[in-house]
This record gives sequence, structure tokens and C-alpha cells, in this order.
Amino acid sequence: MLLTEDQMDVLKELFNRGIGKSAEIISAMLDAPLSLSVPTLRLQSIHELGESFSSEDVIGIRQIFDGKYRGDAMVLYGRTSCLEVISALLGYEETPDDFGDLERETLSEFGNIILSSCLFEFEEALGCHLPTLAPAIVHGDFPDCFISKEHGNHLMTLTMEFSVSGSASTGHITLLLDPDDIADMASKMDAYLERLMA
Amino acid sequence: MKVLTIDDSRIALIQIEKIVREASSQDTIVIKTQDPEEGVRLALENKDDLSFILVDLNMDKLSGLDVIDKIIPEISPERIALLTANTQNSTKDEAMKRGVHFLSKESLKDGLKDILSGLLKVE
Repeated sequence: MLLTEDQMDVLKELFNRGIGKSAEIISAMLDAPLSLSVPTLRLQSIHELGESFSSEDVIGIRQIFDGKYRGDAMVLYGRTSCLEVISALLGYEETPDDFGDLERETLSEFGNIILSSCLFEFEEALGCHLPTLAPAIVHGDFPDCFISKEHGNHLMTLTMEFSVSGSASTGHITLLLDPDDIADMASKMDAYLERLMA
Repeated sequence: MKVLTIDDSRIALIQIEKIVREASSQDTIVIKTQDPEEGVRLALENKDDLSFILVDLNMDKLSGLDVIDKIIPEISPERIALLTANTQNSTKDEAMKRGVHFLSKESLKDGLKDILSGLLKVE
């Protein structure tokens, strides 16, 4: 791993806080409690990343951040979970079979709330700007259709799983970062730690 | 005053210790652990000396609620707080059900100040 224990801890804790903050809004939107896993941080090959998501049909909301640091922030679901989440968000009595414009917009907004909260936490703590492109719905082979082509063979992945109480709906919130960028961000993490300990 | 803090993040523990001292006094003894199982042991072993216990919600092995359920038969819920960044109502309800304090990581300083100043008056 490229980072020290403390630097890894910073990344996981900031991720946890960002997602935790969005949980209040998301839970209100879904009208159901949301369970969140403990965050994990891994250096993975693209192949390993593909194996980490077992669903056969992956749908995601992806926001590319593209400034000094480049990466992908995404909320990923299996198709069934995704349709159930949309149904809960829009108050449908029956789960739809497919997506229309309203469903896509709702899903984008849902992802945007989670991902913006997460990225904002990093920006505030580390003093870096992570400008994002508009959220996009992505559907297709995972991970090939979901990651920026500029990434190398290995990626740093920060992931939390969520599940919606009272349903089988689960999803993954994932940040994919380039290892070179992470190495560059390490000094910002150290500066953050120094501020904490001062 | 002796305070136990249980959080799987070392960074969070450093922050919490700083805030506990600011909210009480620099003489406050802060016991820290990243291991929730050790947290349960420390809480029970020191139950008569501890003024307050802060437990993070989202941890491996045992969640904060699991920790609280293990120590609450021995320790008054007024001396325990569930600490989290996850401020959804269902989490607050879980804390309320157990009669423990709920503290958001974002506004920890203010929330903790109120609680600890109340405890200092009693002590």
C-alpha cells in the first residue's frame, strides 16, 4: 500500500463522514433507514475490481472529478436493487421494469447527493478542489464501462456498502482514485493530521 | 474526570480527545481504543471510575450499538453517548431507545460541552 496507516485512516474516516452526512437526506428521501458498512480501502487491479461486484447487470450513477486529481465517484447497484430504490424514491406502489426520463433524473439526483457530500468532505479537510462533471447514469459491463480510460491497471478504491431497511436493496458507494494522485495527496493528509494534533 | 472513547479510526480518536479536553479540562484522563471488544472490557473494568463513554456507531466486529448493549446493564445510559457522522433519524431513535446521548461528529464540540459541563457540576 502506498500510504501510511494514518493516511489510510484519514481517507476512510473522511469517506465515512461524507457518506454519513448524506445518509440523513437519503433516508428521508427513501422514507426508510439506511444501513452503512464500515469503509474499505484497497489497491486493486481493474480485474480485481470487476470481481468485487458480483451482480450480472450493474447500473451506476457516476461522477467524474477532473481537476488536479482525477477519479470516478459512483453509486453502483444491481438492476433489481436499482429499480427498487427508484420505486421508493418516487413512491411507486409497484417496482417498474425499466427506466424513463423521470426515473433517470431521480437516480442522478440521488447519486449526486451522496457523491457531492463525500467529495465535499475531502475538499474541506484536505484543502483541495475536486471539480465534478454532471452525474451520468452508466449501464453495462463492469468495470469497463464505468471507469475513466485514463486510469492505469491499478486503482485505489474506497468503498462503503449500503442497504435500505425493509427491502433487499443494496448498493455500493465507490471512489476510484489513481495511485499517483493518492501519492500526491499524501502530503495534504499529513497536513490535515498535523492540524488535528496541534 | 475519566473518559473512555471507542472509535475504530485513530484520527477520530485524536479529534475526540482534543474536544473532550477542551470541553472539560486538560487534566481529564482520556482512555482511547480502536477495538470495540476492548472498549467493552475497558468500560466494564473501569465502570466505577468512568465519568463518560463515547462510542462510535460504525465499527467492524461490534457496532457502537452492540457495544452499548453490552455495557448498559452495568453503566448508566446517562454516562454513555453514541457518536456518529450518520445523523439519520433511525440512528437517533436507536440512541433514544437506549436512553443514551446522541452526538453528531460534526457538532461534537458543542454537544459534548453541554453534557460534560453537566457532569462536572454533579462531580
